[in-house]
Amino acid sequence: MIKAEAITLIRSNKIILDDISLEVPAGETTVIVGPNGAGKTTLMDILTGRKLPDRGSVFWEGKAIGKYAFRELARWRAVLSQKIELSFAFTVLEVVLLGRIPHTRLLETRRDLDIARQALALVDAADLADRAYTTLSGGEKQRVQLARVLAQIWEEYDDHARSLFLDEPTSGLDLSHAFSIMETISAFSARGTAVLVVLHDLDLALQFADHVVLMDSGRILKYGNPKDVLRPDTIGEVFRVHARLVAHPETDRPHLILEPLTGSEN
Amino acid sequence: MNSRHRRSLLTIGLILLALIAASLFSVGRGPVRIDLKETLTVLLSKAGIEVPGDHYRAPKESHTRRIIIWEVRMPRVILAILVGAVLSVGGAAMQGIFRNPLADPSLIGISAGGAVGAILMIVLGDFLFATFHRVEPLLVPLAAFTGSIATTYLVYRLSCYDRRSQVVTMLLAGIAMNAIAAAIIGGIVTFSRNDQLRSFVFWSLGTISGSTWNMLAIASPFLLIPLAIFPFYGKVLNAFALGEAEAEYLGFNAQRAQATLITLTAASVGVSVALCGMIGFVGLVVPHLVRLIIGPDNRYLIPASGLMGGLLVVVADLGARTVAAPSELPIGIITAVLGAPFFLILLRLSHRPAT
Repeated sequence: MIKAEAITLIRSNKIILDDISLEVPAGETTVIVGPNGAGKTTLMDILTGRKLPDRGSVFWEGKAIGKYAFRELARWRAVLSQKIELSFAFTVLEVVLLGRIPHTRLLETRRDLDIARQALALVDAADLADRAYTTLSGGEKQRVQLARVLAQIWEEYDDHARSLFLDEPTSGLDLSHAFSIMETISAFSARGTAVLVVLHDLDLALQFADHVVLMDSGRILKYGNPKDVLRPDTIGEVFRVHARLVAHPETDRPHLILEPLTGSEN
Repeated sequence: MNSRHRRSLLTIGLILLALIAASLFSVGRGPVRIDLKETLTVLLSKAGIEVPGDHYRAPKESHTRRIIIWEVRMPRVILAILVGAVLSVGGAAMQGIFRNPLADPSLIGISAGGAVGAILMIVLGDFLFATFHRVEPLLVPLAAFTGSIATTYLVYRLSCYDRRSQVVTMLLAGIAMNAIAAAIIGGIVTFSRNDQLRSFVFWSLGTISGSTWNMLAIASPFLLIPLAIFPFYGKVLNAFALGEAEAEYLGFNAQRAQATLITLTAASVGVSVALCGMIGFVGLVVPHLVRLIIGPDNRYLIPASGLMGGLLVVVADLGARTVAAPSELPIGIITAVLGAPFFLILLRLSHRPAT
């Protein structure tokens, strides 16, 4: 359980985050949605301990985040940022093995290699293992980076609940990979990991989230289960689009249909 | 241990052997030729091991040759190894921190600051000290070292924002400081006397001549301590390849690691610039050369770059003092002439992309 209490962050006289409180429970997937500049990534940075808030505090399992050592955190908390480029030609397998650094001494063990290969297989990138990372496409890079963060928290460390932060993990992926990656992430969270994902695709959020946080202008507008938060009227207002919720003809699951606002309606 | 690790270790072993061979060979070359057997005999006797059966020369001649080996050429070869190692490891560390294949120690102002310090001392020395010509060999390196450290510190401070040092800002601050330094040097050079200009040009082209055991004793802590610490940062630099934030998520205090690596580089390369002037090309190219052979894993890249840099500078120094004997070429010319074509060939032959 990750808990943020009354987080406020001010930069250059602008309020970036305004009095935000949030709980991210273990074993479930919490999705943050919101328009550009809503403060999603900044909130994530504060929850991971990367940035310090001006007011408020973050607790991990009841302990203030500042009390943990970097290395300790890295053994059960993994973060996937947007777009990671490398300047040197590490192979894909080497990149995934970087995720094992918090668990290795000098050289990685056979176990680390096994985990790296399994993680690659999980994101459908096993056949990329020996390619140079720098030669991959954007979507392939994204999957490899996901494999790296999964490898980092592959096993429970010292009975400590694990957590996974993902900033738009599906942004550059084709549809089938976007679905399978979200399924992988859900399965990971179901095994007891607290997962927090920033997503742009509202329909994906609707399908895969246990909880949705809707943010705008540094505030949390709504928090709750996906169907309650992602209502057509709310979405229409916040994202300034025309939204409709329809049931899938066969599965009956709700799906969002989004269209631009036409001039006359505005 | 898998094959990649074995291959890297094997490569490091081979470079080490090449370095030892080149050093022994270099000690024997010069106006007075000395064969390997005699070189080894003298070196072993210094280590307290007397090799029998070496009495075929007159005692006086033998004594002179001992001095040439031990007092003239050995300190020079050792300084060449250390300077080459420091420049290359510093280059690998800078490329790692800045995640930029074009980075080298001069990027954060180490060389430019050193040059400003040196030329200021060369030009102002006469006003400041009555007997400047006597203390010049001591004061110019001191001023260069001070300039290096001060400039690097300034670049580092300028890059700090929001309690963190921003890597891109540091890069840009370094470029700006280099421009300022070039302007200052240009300005001073314009108004300096001929002999001062010559002094500065000689300093700036770099040379390893005049190395003595005393000089090595003073400089070696600044060179050896960083060289001993750098290899422990291989894992951190690997994590840095993903980015500073990612290094932190992987459990490293990225800010502290970055400050440490910059301090070690500034101190060691600063001393190298102070003693030998600017030996270009080594810091930039040696890490790339090594990456082409063993890949970018910094756990191997750092030690391998150190040895390879030592090898390159030992060979370059041998060239510098023998090619145009009895006069000496600036070593910077040799490192470029020797290293660049070799590097270009490797670049073309390699199947692994350089960046």
